Amino acid sequence: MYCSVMSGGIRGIDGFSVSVETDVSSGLPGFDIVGFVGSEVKEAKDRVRTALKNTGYMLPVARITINLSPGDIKKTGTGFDLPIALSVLSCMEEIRAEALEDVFVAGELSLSGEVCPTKGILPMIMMAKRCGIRKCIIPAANSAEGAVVEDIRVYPVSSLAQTVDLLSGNCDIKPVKNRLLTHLHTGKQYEHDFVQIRGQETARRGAEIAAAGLHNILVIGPPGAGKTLLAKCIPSILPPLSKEECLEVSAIYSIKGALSSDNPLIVRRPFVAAHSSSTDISLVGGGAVPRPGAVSLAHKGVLFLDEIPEFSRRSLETLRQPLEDGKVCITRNRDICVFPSDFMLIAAANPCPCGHYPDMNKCTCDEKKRARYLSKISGPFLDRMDLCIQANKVTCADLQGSGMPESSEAIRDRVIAAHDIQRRRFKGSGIQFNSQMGNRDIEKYCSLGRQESALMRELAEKQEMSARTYYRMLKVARTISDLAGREHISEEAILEAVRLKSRVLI
Amino acid sequence: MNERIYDYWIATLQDGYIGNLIRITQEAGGAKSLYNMSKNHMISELGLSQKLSDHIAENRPGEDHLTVDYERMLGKGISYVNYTDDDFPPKLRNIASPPYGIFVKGSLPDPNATSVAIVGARDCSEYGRLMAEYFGNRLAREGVQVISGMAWGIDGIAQSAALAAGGRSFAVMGCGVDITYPAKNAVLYRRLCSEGNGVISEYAPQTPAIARQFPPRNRIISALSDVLIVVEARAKSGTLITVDMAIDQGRTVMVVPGRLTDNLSVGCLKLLYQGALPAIGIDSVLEQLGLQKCVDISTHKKQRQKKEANVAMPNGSAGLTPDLQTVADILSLEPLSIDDIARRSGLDQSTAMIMLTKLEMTDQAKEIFPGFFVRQYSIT
Repeated sequence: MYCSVMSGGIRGIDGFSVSVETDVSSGLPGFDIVGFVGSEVKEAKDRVRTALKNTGYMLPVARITINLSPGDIKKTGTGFDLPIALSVLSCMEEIRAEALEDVFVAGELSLSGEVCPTKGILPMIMMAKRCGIRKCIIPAANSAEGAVVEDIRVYPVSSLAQTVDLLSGNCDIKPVKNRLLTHLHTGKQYEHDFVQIRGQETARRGAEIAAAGLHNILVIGPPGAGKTLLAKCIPSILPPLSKEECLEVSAIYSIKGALSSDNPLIVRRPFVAAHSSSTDISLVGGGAVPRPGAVSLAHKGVLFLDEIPEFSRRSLETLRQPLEDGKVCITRNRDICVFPSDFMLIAAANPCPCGHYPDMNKCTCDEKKRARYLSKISGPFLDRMDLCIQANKVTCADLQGSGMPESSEAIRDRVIAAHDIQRRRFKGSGIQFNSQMGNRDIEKYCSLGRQESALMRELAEKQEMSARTYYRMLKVARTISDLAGREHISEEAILEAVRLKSRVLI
Repeated sequence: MNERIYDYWIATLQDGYIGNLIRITQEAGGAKSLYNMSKNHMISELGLSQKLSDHIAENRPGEDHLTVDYERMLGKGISYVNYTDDDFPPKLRNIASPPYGIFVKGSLPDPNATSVAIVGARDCSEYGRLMAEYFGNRLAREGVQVISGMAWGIDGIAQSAALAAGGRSFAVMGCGVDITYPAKNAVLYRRLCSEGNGVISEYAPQTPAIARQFPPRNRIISALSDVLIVVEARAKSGTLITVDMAIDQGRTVMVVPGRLTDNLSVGCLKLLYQGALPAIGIDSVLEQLGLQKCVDISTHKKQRQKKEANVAMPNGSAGLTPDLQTVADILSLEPLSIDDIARRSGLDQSTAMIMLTKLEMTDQAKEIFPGFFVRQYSIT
């Protein structure tokens, strides 16, 4: 007797379909799972056997062979328990084989026969939809995740018995109501808003320019100046995520098991802070079974690295590929997993180890310590930072100042306008934002008038700019002009851009 | 030549701990006899301690070896001057504990010209920087030799300013003269090694920079100078050691006054309180050197000169647009953030940044740290 059920696994951030085949034949009694499976999948054998028993089904005294096909992709995770159990039951003719046709099933089983939540449900359902499946059975605890995929019926089940009833038509579980639009239209409010930041006018201006061109930024300021708050506010001035982007980001969070039933769809741009003690793997992803790291969780959002001089050179080096390519490729002997990691990087540093320089009355560091501190940031890493902005100590006058600071919404409107200009300009060129321009693009899109070139030349000579700094400044000047809605780079934009590049960035 | 290597050998023994090598050598009956003396003899005849005799005995390479070392040193352009030599600086010979000999790269100071030592904090403020530049520059223009320790901060700034003004300058090192310490002053070091200037040390070439060697070298800095000028010193500062040495050696100590609120001025103010002379401008120093008479110190209304600060002037500010003028007027030697500048000028961020870049391009403003600006001054 042979039967097959469709389930799915995760590779990178994409689901792939797995057909769970079961054969029950006479022979020495046994229960084997084959098909390049990880140890948690092997353990499914005992969970399934017990869950079946506790639901009232005795396994036939026969040779049961389970195969997870395709056999050349490693399968991990606990989502195969339910499909295995169902395919066994189908072989035992407890469920009609037709009932399982074109149904996608995933879920972990407890010994009592309960269906427990599993990771990566969202990308698996998205995969099932691409495969033309119309019906999914998933753990009830994951139903919120299932409710965000359109055009597919998703049935939440909480026990094996209930699942059997559902498939036999003895139970009227309703498919979950699609809530994609509801989620998309609510919960867009960011917790942190620029309206909370008083003073810090320079930092605000810098943040706006950075967001407008999606430039990576380095924020320098004393402890307590609000560097972290500033970084946390930046997602709120970026344009809202599109529906596709929401699903793409949510899929990553689903694999991490980071989607809750309250918050099954990521609709706000993520803000991810990584600490200097983070391992390389937690930063960029990896592991025996590759999992997304902080850079992927920050996909389409902001990655914040506080105390950047404390990060090891090695950790920062590992950020190079994600920064450059917007994705992380993790190679395992049989597989290459690709995790998207298209984020805006915000790095923060104190001006010196004690944090008070250049206030010579407060700074307790000697000149050597100070020089060593900022020089610890690796050069190749600094090359990827377009702007350097300062967060200054907030004064009492700032805090008590009258009038509300500008809200994120108002800033966001200007940022969106600048993004629109860039989109039109770069149409068909393969890039989207000013920060992505290579040197050739810069020459093409940042042409200067006669006066402006003369000014650039003078500045370059005066400041002994390297070619790299020169191009970086042009990119920033381009963004400033875009924000002002100017077609050509103005002298003012150049003069302001100089201020936002810093000697720290050489 | 042959005798020379024994003197050279004794000079290489110097490491900042050792006692009076001149006395020991004299009692031993010359450098060569000290070289040939057994350890027991050193203890019994010269009364040296076990530790010191060990040190001398253990660092006694063969004569061939010494000759090779000595010649190799000469080959690197380093000369050795023994305290008995004619060209040994007389000012240095006449202090309480002159070095046995000094190693020189470049030249020695002209004994007939006046010399001023300028020392101060490594970690100086913009005010300190300007003052070091001022005194270095002006003294050089008056033909005065500038002596210092080539340290980062005041020392190096004063020496660079003196060289830039076409003057002569000499660095006294706490390490071997062939070691660029601090490495960041490499450009200054190269210029100091050139003819007319010099790098001097009582430590043998290749001696690394070790903290304990620096206080003794300060006595050479003060000894070589006629006047010692202190620019910025914290309450506990190595500079104050140099001042003590200078006082012991009978040198005039002058101090650049600072504000009572600046930690970097606390040491200076204490010295002033103890009676050091305030250096209120180049004239006051020249007067102490005997090169000029009468600083106009009258405060009487009728005699008071109109000129206010006679030391340095903010860089040219004629014909600025109102916005530029506003920003320029706000800037001083006190570092201000862009936020501060925008707030005080009432300009918006972008305009303030644009104005700052314009001022920077015309050398009227300087960014001393990302986002912090000071006014640029020129020495008058």
